[in-house]
Amino acid sequence: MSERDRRLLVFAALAVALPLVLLAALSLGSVPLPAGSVVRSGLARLGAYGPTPLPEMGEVILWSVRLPRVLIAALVGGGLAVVGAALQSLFRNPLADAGLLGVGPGAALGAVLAVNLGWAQQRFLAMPLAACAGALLALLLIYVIAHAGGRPTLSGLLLTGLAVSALAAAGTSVLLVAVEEFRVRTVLFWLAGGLEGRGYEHLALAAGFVLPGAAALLVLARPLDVLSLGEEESAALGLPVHGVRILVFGLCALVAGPVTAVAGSVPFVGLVAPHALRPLVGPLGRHLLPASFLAGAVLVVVADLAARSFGEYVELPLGSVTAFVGAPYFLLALRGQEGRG
Amino acid sequence: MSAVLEARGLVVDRGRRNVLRGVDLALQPGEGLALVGPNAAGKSTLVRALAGLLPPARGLILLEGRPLASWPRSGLAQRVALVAAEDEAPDRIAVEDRVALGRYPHRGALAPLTAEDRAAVARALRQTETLHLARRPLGTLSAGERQRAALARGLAQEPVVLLLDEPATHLDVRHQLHLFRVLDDVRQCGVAVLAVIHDLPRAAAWAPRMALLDEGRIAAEGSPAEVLEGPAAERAFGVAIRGVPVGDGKERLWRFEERA
Amino acid sequence: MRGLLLALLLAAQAVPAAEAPLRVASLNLTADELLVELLPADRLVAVTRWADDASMSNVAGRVPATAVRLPRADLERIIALRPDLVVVSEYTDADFLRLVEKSGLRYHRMSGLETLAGIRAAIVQLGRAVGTPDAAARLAARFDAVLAELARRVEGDPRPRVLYWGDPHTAGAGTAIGSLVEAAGATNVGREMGLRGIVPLAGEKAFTADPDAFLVTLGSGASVALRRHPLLSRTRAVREGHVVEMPNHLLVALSDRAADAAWWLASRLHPARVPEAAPPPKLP
Repeated sequence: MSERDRRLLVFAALAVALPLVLLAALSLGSVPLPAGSVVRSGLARLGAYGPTPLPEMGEVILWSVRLPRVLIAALVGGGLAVVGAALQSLFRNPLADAGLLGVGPGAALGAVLAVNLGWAQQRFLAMPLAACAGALLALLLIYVIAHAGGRPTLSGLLLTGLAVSALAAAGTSVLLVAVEEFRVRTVLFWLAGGLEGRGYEHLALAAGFVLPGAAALLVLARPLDVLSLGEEESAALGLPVHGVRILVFGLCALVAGPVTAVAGSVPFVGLVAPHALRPLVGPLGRHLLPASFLAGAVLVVVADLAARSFGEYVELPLGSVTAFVGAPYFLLALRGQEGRG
Repeated sequence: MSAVLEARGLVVDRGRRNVLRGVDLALQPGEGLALVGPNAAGKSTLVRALAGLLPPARGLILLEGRPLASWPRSGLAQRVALVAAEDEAPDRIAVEDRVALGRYPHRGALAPLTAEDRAAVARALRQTETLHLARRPLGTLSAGERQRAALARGLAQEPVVLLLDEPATHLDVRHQLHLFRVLDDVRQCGVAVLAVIHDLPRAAAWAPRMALLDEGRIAAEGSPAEVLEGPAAERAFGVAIRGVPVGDGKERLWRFEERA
Repeated sequence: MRGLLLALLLAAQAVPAAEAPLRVASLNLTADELLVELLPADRLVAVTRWADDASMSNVAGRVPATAVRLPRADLERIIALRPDLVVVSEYTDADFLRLVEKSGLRYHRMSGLETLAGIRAAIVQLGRAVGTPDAAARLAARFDAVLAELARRVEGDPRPRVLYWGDPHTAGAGTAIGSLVEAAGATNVGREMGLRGIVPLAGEKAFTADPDAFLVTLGSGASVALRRHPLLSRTRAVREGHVVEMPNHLLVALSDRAADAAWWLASRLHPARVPEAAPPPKLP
């Protein structure tokens, strides 16, 4: 099969898989709804095909609870996967992902603060917004520190990100130790990742950052390819290396920060999706970024479905599901890479 | 004829080290210049400065008569192509796509590649004899093949100045000869070629003109015979150099001996 | 004619009852305990999974079989049960509550359970919310009576200084456990130290506080931990055996049973004044 045909096949498969998986996620759950009824309910909303076949409580479950949640899952997965692909180009390392940005721990710190001050219990959207603010502040801090000595190198940027992450994590620990017991549980649930209780407002928050951010990264696909050739060659080709790096870094944080704010920590999606797709669609940004978005969306929608289907007393944390699947994949991939030397 | 690329009194520092200490060099269109010199003379630094990658501490670099600093980034990259010795391109990218990135200065981030771009890429692949490798990922190529792919990228840029840093290191004899033929072909179209070449006989065999860089300055310039047989070359390399005319006297066989 | 009038009168009285929420789902253990007392079985639609757990619940064994035990606060299942009112706890997250509202459900949030007065008020508010104000008033009256009798009995007796030890947490001011200790005729050392809420306490601080007695949860391993603790094992309280191990379901009771819990604790701290572990059925 030619390269091009294989790529088309993969895109077709993803384009078919995503709606199927969305339909499955809308139908399955603690209250199963027949898939056909879900579709007809959707058509009824659009004014076609007559009234909905679902009883009222089914309608409420489908439209108020499940739909926003499933769409958020798709955005979270898509966003994290695109960020992973972009960072892998940026750092020229197939193992880079959103975890390097420092936004995760920044978001966690914001969330813990919100819980600590009681905002999370009292004010709607307080925790995600605080987490978002924490993530963006972390980004700002990284930017300022990294530039303190002039233009940072790539490793300088990376190390600053790690240092700021460690600082935020330390702050989070201090707050967790000092905080009331039941609040600790709230934070721990958030940190483990999950979409329980997420509604349309959270969807708007996520979509507002993920969609424009992912689109902007797609526009930067060719510069990312040029960057992957190495600093010298890209500069020689006329790319403003430093500016593009900072722009990509910033866009990635703007996508990953709000995603973490809404869904907590969801690891490995940014690693697994691009890594698995690169041999199939090639390394060029204009193919890998959109394919990663689709694959990431499919992955997290399925993971969220698993999270709410397999936990008896508590929903399985979404982050744990992605880790249970992602970590073994990652280890196998690593071994495969080392085998090839 | 005015020079297409010229350095005047070029002083370049790397960190605290003063590497280039006043270099004067001019490249004419269609010219072939071999830049030689001992280790740490500053050859790579000079090439990168000429490409606009290193800012001069003092002095001037003129491209088509205008200072480098006045050129917009893309304009500069459309005219000057640098092919470095180290290739950091990722393993997975296909040769053709890697070469096609050489059209970036002309197309930018968004504009799709035109037929003209594709023709330039195809021409570059043919010239470097890498057409049959077009869809192969770089990671599956030999070092020599990768080097040819890097050169193809430079050619695809369709520059007016082609700067090469050690372009022949991984090439076998046939491909080395082929490389120099390609450089000559490109010169026919008016492209100025400057190549840093370590291998003195090779450099002398190809280059119509040679410049010797020693301790940050151009110590000698002229035909290869003039440069290598001059006192500056012996001083720079620390060896005795003798050229023995062979054949019809146009070519020389070079002998190097350690000095006592 | 008289019969018709009587029927109309009865019908008129029935109208307010029809406006009260019929079916109630509880997502909170305290509400489970109260609603089992307040509501007839067919109106209690769902309880938490802890309602049947004797180590946590004061109504274990008495929860109607028809009530669904919800293993977790799964909004989809709650919606499927079509309750008229959902009772949630104070620390339920605001985003979740918004979604509950958006799903067309009403909710009542338990609050103020850190003091005994707050618990009493919460009982009355819950009764009003579920349309059984009289039953709630009866519960509240018994609550008051138990506490009043208890106060009368322990009055004048010196108040021991008690430190709750949750290894490594203690209860400061503004906690139900603190209120429990005080109602049982003791001083809460956590409050004395200026702490608020359930917060961690360093071993050294607990040692220098030198309480007259430690209060721990029975079966939690805290009493063993005390005896093994390098510092705390040397406190006067531990050496003299003044470690009160309280059953968990009483210690964490935030319903009307909090009064019974205070009584139980008082029976341990003031055995002469409060000989029985539970309040007598008929109170003076």
